[in-house]
Amino acid sequence: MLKDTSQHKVFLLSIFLILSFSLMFLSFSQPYLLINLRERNYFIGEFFYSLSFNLKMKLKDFAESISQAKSLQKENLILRRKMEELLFKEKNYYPEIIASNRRLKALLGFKEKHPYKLIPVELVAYSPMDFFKVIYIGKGAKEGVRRGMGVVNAQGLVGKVIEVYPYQAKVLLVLDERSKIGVRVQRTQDIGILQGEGEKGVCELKYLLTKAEVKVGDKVVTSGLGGLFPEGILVGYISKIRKKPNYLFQKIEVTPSVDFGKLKEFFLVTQR
Amino acid sequence: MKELGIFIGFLGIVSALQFIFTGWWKEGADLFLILVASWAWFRGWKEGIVVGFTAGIFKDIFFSPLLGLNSFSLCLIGFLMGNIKGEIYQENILVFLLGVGIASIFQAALISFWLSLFYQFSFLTNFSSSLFPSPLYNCGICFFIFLIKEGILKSKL
Repeated sequence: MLKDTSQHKVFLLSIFLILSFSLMFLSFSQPYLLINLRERNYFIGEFFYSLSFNLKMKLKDFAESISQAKSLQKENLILRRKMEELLFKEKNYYPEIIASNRRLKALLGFKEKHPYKLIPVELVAYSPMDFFKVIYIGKGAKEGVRRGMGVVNAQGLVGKVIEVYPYQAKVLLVLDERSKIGVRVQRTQDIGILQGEGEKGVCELKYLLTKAEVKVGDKVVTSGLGGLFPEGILVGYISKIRKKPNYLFQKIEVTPSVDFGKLKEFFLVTQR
Repeated sequence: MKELGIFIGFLGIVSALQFIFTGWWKEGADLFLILVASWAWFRGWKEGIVVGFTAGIFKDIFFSPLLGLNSFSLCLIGFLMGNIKGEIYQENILVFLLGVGIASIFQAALISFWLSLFYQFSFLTNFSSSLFPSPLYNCGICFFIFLIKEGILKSKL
């Protein structure tokens, strides 16, 4: 009886595990199957991401208003109001304006430097799974976003759009291990493929011949080959080089120029 | 039928919360895993497998690059949690929390394995990065789920 029960358990579990593995294999061999399914039915995700974003903003406002009300009760009415206003401006308003001014100047500088068509866009959410370096941005198919578009900020290349929903899009960051980008070392003009290394926070520059004379600190920019990204967008700097005798290629580590911990505003890049 | 309704309700809530929280934090609790582990612990291995598979498919559709990636691990976790419950002292909260912690680490290992197999992700880097803080969050939430469930049971008695 006990044997039957164990066999029954294993049989039932095996069915579900085999089914799961078959689905995995199917969606790996036909990647657009899942992407198309998600893009068609993404209204749920968009609704909740928007809800989350608005809720976050409202809670932030609410918390700020409570803290202001508490401090107002402790001080003299007239002086306190004036002082509060000045202090508030000094501590919150002016630094915020200065910071946003700097940020916008940097973005404007970037826009003037690069003759591409740029669409401004904001970060909406991060990936819920730590394994994937993926973010969601607040513009989608309705605003002209297409699969494969590059995403940049003032610091350089952020990633590329991999899925497009009506009002949002999913961006694969250059750090993701699935990300492969055609790049060029700016000083020597050597061409290679840049692949993300996930949690390590760096990328690997592949297929660069051992004889290529690259140095630590060299700028790595997009090559423009393949037509996905425009040429010359800064991706990062060479941070480590390992050459082994009798090896055809050298092992090169590239530190991205973008600070992925502080992502906020971006541009979507399209070729003119 | 009532159980099915409750499960669908929970699945809806979990999906909504997972969507909402991912807009707030980069790393957080895996609500799908919590749902499966708790359900299997309180209701047994059979329901654990089915609930794990369904919740996994749901998670795959919205959050994963491969269908079956989460359903594989969650269905296995549902089975294991449901089985352990029958073998040991079920009312001990520490055993339950330990089970959830191990299940979180087990899931991270399984997903890292499949990703390294399909996409050549680095197994060790991904696995080690997911050891903290997600399993802690999962155990924290399960602590309250256990207390609530115990409270409901006692009030019925």
